[in-house]
Amino acid sequence: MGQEWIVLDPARLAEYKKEKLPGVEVTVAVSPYDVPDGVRAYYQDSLRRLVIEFRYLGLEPFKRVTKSQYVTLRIGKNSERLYGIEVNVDGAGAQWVALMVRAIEEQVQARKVHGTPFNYDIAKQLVEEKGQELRRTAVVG
Amino acid sequence: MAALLKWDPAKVVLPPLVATPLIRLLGLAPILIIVFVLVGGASRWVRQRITSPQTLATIQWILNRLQEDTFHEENAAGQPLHENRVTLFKHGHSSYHLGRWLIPVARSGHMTQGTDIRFRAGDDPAELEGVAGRAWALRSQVIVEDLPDLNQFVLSPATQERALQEYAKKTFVTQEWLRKRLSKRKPLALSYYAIHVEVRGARWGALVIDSMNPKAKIGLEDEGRYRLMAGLLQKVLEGV
Repeated sequence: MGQEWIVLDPARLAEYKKEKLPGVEVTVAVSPYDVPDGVRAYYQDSLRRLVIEFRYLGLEPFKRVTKSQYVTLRIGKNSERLYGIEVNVDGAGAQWVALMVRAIEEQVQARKVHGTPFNYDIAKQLVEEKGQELRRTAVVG
Repeated sequence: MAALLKWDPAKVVLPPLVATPLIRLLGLAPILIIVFVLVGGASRWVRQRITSPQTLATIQWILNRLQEDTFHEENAAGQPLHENRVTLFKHGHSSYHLGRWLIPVARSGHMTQGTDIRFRAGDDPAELEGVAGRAWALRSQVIVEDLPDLNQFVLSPATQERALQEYAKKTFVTQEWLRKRLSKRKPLALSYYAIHVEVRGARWGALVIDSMNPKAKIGLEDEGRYRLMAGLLQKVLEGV
């Protein structure tokens, strides 16, 4: 895949991703494994879709989870981390970013792992902030 | 073996030179399958228990480096290393206890290496012990600060009781567990930082930094340090 990664600042993304456990004075903060340090987008001809990928500290196999007619998520088989989003931008029209956000929110409900979905919060923030830019700069992969 | 099991000698006729040993092998198939399963399981068991001295030395180096980076001011001020420690726990079965546990693999420094501390970490939330168990289950960083100082021997019984209760609640252990530690004259830290450790997206164990400082050394400026450590450990542990 030729598309270059856009380098992210994990410290900025990790900021404010903290919470207090109910009834105990204990702070739970996002794991560094859940904070991407890179993002990229490309058009995959075989899928006829725009693919947005997130880069993390480690790699793991992912499964494709279809969330709607236009959006499929790539979910880590072990961690349930969001590794990528495949979106039919032409079919989804102007709502393509909103549909990605909705797919991520639905996936939060479907999760089997414990803990706050910090990783999905960060991914949602990134597609909202950078979705249009990623689409503009995406090349055919 | 799977292909052999599907072979029907009456339908697929082979030359006698090939067919005779294959028919013998077919007769032994049930025993061979059991042997393969046992050998596979045994080799996995052995592999899990063998950690090369070189790998252990690398893990030790990472933990020492993390301790030095995190507590350089305390070390420079002459605080003993065992008052600010980094310990790596592996998730698995204990030789002496039922269930699944976080068992120490390595610890920074030279003192307190032979620790017997371990925390229950099963799938059931009721089977989670300690800050390590919580970080492992939540796949997050867990920070506990400003714990009461149970190492003081001047506390009145009532104050001691209240302090034990608070400490136990904040660190997810029982008061009985704390009393046992204290009776063995094991010091109890005033702050903890714990994080789960992953290999290929799967939980491998947990890393705990305990300190006699009431405030844990963790902030935004530390993100890069823990990120580097998590990445390094992941690479080293892939072979363990």
